[in-house]
Amino acid sequence: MGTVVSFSLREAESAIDGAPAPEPAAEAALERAEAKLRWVDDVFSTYKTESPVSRLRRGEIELDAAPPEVAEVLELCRRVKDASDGWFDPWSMPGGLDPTGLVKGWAAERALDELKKAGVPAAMINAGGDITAYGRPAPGQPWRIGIRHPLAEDRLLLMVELDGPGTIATSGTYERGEHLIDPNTGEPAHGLLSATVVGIDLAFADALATALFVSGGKLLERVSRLAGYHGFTVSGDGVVRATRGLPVGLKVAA
Amino acid sequence: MNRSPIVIAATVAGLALTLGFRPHATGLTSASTAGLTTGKANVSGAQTVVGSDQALAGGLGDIQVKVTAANGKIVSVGMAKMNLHGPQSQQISNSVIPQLEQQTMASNGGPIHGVSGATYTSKAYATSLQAALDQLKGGSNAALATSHGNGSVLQPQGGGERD
Repeated sequence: MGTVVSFSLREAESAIDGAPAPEPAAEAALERAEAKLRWVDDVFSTYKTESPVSRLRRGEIELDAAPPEVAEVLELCRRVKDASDGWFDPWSMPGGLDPTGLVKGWAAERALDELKKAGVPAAMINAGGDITAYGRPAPGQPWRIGIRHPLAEDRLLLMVELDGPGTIATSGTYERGEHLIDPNTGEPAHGLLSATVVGIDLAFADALATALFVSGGKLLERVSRLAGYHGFTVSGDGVVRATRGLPVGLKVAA
Repeated sequence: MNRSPIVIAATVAGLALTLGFRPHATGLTSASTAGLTTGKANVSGAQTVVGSDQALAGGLGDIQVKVTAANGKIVSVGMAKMNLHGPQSQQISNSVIPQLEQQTMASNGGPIHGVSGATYTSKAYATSLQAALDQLKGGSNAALATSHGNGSVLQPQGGGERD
């Protein structure tokens, strides 16, 4: 199953009379962003049997025969593996090498790059629940991001405001079941309702949120020591625990 | 790959574009208001930012908190004034869009621009709050793109994923 990526773009104002910039520029930027997402999918999908990553997984090709972005992503994976004390480990997945937990966020960042390059003054991308944004939605206004309540699709649990660039990633099993694998056991992780990481780069935040979730929250202290990243977890008993700077111990309606 | 045409609808606050890039975008046409309700929530009272080993008073239904971050750094935390509907947590079964508008207007005077959560499927997106935001008439959110069906990397960590 795929997911849905939502784009939110802010128009540039005309220097002449304050009128919005022509739409075609934003449309072209969106097309490039979309093309980037499709390209990433073609290269990194573990579901497409002939994707470079699938061929790499089967040992049919070496890393240097894949597009250089694959090595780039695997290097990011290695860094997150280190930063997460091994709780994020694409090399320990049951089906073989699987960088998917980082690629979605990385893909969203690359799509956002296309919008920046095209001169879009502010934009937000929501890749299936993981968000990256830059600029401001309106002068002086932050991006206001709700965090979904893990037990109710129609409720928000928290609000996070991003004043300028920032990212938010949430992992949980409430949408797709127990698909998040503990690299230490090879078994699905459970114990938390959700884990969210707020930070600078969505590739890292996405992978860290996965790691935080599968760690059952044990990674929270580690996340609190990462410069530029914050996180919180919602456990099955409805308690929210957060890194310093975020409120903790909030009781959630169960 | 096939793709559906780009649909453009300009709004006051921004561009509204629907980008369908799935060969069989079955979920999108129904991505409106089906089955979605917006809940009310309670504010538990004043609170302060506390350290990582302390607990705040627990409470009454949902507690909503506002966190402000700049360049990835949290700069302030406070209650989001979203919960102006009443003391009891309660479901409302009217159309989601007026409800969400009501909720967003009540959220400290500013709109909600996005919703973060566990990765939804294309199907589940249809009833998500993000979908409702994307559909808000005159809203500033807009473009949605579906990945195609099988083979998307736009998925959670997938080693053990069962579709």
